[in-house]
Amino acid sequence: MEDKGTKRNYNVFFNTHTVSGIVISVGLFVCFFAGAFALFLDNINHWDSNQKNKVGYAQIDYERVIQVIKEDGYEMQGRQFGIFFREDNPPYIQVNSQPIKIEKDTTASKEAEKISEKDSLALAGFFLKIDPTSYQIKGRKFDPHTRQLGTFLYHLHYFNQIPTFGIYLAGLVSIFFLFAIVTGVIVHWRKIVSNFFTFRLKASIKNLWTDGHTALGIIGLPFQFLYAVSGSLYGLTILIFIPSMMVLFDGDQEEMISYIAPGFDTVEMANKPLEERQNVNHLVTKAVQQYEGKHIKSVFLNLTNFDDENAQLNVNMDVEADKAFYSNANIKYSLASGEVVSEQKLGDNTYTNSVILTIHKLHFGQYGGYFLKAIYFLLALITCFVILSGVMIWLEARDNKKYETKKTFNTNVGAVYLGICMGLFPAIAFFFCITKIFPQGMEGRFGTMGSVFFTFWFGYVLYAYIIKDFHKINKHALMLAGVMGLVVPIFNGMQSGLWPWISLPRGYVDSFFIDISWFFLGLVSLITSLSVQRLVTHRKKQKEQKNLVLMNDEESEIASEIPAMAISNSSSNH
Amino acid sequence: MPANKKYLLKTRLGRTSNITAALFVSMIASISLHLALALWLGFTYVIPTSIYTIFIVWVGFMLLVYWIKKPWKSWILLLSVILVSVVGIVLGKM
Repeated sequence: MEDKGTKRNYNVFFNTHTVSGIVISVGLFVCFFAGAFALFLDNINHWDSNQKNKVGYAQIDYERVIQVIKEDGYEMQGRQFGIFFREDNPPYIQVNSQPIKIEKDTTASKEAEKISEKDSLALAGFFLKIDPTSYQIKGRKFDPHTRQLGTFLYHLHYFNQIPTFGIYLAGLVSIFFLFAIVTGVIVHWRKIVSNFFTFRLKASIKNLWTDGHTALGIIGLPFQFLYAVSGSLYGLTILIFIPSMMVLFDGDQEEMISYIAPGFDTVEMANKPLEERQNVNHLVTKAVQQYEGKHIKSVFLNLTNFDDENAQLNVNMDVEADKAFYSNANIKYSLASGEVVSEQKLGDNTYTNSVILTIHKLHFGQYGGYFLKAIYFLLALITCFVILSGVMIWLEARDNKKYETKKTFNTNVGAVYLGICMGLFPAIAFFFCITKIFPQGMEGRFGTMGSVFFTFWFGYVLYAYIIKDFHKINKHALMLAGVMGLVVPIFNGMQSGLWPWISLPRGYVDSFFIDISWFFLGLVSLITSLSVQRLVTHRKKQKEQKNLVLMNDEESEIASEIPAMAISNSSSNH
Repeated sequence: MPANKKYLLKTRLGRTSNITAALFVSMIASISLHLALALWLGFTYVIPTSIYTIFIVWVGFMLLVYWIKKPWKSWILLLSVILVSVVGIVLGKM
């Protein structure tokens, strides 16, 4: 009875593992592959725009920023807004604000209502881009279109190119991925130790894929679990926020946030205008000075209840902490007195205020240097192998007489899957190349490059669909990516003059890093593509051997017949 | 070796029911369970924790749906989790 139960569970979970895995495979591959590159988001952006690595935090004139907003006609009384220096190309100061909440006065006359309508623009929320040198407003809209390669790949890794639904799709893929991981472990559980040490290279193709799939799946398990959970969180944040906000906080978003990010809790307004305000620049300098001698990477200001007696300034700092996981610190000042209201020192992290931070750091690999990200990159590629080998097992298991009727369909599906997955690698390498070829001043430059990238990728899928030869699809993808990867440093050198031997001494660390990485990545994939041999199925091998034996037998039979005939002939002659 | 069909649900209705239960009903059960827990145990720890446990519990329910042999049994289980949580939320909010 129990044996039957285990058998049933094995088959049921095996089936769910297969189905959920196959359904998400392509999407998940894109998530992990583009995500592996997106780990180096900032580095790629620096490389793209030939920027030097940032030297450190440069203080901006916050008082002037506030002045600019005021002069732009926004009501400041009671406003909440954030100021952040954004390292883009070109860099800008980002200011965003929520609309000011006003209790509706039911007794107000119609005339007053008219005025409030006029003022509604002044009360509205806003998004401003301010130039850090001239302090002019440069833009008022958050631009979802990126103009940098690193950001493009980052967006690609959660399908942001699909408007609105892309991120939810990525979230769904993640939750299916979590399910596939857990069912995979359940299916694999009984042989988890013995299979880990098994690697049958020559038994059959399916065994090769299966052993690779399970062993690398187990090695990458913690990494994959982390990404499945954090990916679901980022993709489906809406599922956490909306219900909690509606049910627990009666729709108050700020109160909800204050539980997750305690630095951002707000106090009630005193509803008395503030007579004299402390200088924001002085307070920020005071906060930053606490960490003198340490490298401060960025500062984010959050001002609440502005120009009210309960106005507060929250200075959030990202400090480079040596050999520590957390790098955040924040100090909250009262803008009326300049006194410290609350403080979270560097490394002073409690459980409740660091859950989101921890997940963020783990997901983006931001707790070590280049070496950690390189390990993350490798683990992401391992995960890509696990995904693809899963698809290959599915295909191999169906490559027999039982599935003869579906054979064309299965081969087509396999070719398209492989084309999309393997084609992404040369497509990304291609994008790196054209970034350095397209002329800088071109109209709609980045949009065109994006289209060219997708066209190239689609072209590869088409090619895969036409040739339908898995071996060639893999080999040619690696070969293309290898050649293009090798020329990335050359194109970069020709466009910017930042050849690897020039960029490193001059402090363009990221230009050097990306060039050298592409050189080695290209070299490895080119060598791999040139040395791979076609996998021959066990059955085919047996068949060939049988044919050989048969042929030998026939030959020997013929050979043995000749003398017999000769004998009989000679005997009949006599 | 694809899974042995002998052990899988045979009817289309059964399969659809399991998929619906695993995807949507499990999600609602997980969310409502966390909301009820937040109300009963206090927000301070439950809300930050729920950020990641919502998804883990959701997948846990998915596994239960496929582990339980009869689809109607898993529906009863999930619906009772939702019911208990909703009652908990209503009582907690009073």
